[in-house]
Amino acid sequence: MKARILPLDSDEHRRAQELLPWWVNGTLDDLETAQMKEHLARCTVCQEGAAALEELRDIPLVPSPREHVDRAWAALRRRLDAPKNPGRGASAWHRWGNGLRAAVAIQAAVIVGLALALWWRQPPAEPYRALGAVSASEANAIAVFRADATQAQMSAALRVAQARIVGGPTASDAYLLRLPDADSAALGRLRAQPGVLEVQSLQAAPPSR
Amino acid sequence: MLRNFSVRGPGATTLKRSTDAVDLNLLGRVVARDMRAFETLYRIYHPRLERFLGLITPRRTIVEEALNDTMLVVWRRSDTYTGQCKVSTWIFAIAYRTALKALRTQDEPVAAPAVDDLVCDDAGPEQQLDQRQTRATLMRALDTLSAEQRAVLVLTFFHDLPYAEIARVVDCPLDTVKTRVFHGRRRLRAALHDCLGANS
Repeated sequence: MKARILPLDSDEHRRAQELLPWWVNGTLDDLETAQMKEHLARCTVCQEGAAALEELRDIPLVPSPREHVDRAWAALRRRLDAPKNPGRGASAWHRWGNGLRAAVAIQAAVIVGLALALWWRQPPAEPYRALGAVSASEANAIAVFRADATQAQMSAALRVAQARIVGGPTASDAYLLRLPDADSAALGRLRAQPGVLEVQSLQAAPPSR
Repeated sequence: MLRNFSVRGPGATTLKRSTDAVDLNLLGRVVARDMRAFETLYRIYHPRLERFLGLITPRRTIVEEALNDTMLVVWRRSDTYTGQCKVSTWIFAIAYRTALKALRTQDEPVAAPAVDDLVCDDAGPEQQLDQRQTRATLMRALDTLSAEQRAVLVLTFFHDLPYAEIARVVDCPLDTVKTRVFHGRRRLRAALHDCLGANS
């Protein structure tokens, strides 16, 4: 079919130009996809636009190395472990008058009492369940392979850990794995394999804080 | 290239659904104060948020701070997630608001982007140089746009989000998202053209 350039003010062309980015990232619905296919087949302007956007998407964006993520996580843990607003409460407290202090103390005691009563009467929290989480519920670990990992390295790593892939890659390039036993020793063995960048357990840990 | 691993093709919907289920599972455990689940969620989202924040804010220090601020909110406010959108949309919306707030409070002149920090160490010297140049060009071109325009472009082209989800992240109507991307990519293209012309 001979391609032709549609006038830029045509409604169809304008709509196609608007939707082009999501045509390129593959997230349009079926109807929009069919309309775009039809339009692109006969519009060279949009064909060129799509090619230019594909080039933009191909710019490599490489994540930080694991040590950097470890440092960032350690920094966040320090913030989580630090007491909230140390000192601020104390100075504000001293500015208040004696009467106000007593009133707030009584109010606080009532709130704590009510909270305790509510807590005592509440049934234990139900575990959080995800609808349709069939394949994901099988997974007990997540692994990210290096960008340059070969198929052979990935297969060897999975063999060593007796793991099988049950899902992925996710948007973060992680694979969902099922290991016979996802304990720290097994995860450590997998993590030590060439081509493996990151391994994390998906099993619940005892609650903290 | 890492992008080659991203979810595409006919099986993509199923895989995305399983990703959503993992996110939901982890967030549910975070609500129950499971620190190990939170660490897993953090490590899953670190590269995605770094990519998002790194392209909408010009400074490395803002990126690091905004990323941890975002995840701190996720930890502290996990019980406010209502399930009306995907977990990723909820987290990206927090990151977007955090980044805008950080950018507004920054009144110092903008420094050159920390390109070296985001270049793959495993690449050969020539490939590394190429990556640095390409990324520097992209950052300079993005820098000519507003933070709001940068965010919608980055979510579209580097996170493959549908426009409806982007509208939820940036909290604006669908048509506004389409218009921002439409004008943003024109400006980006012109800026990339200028930057490439200046480099050659």
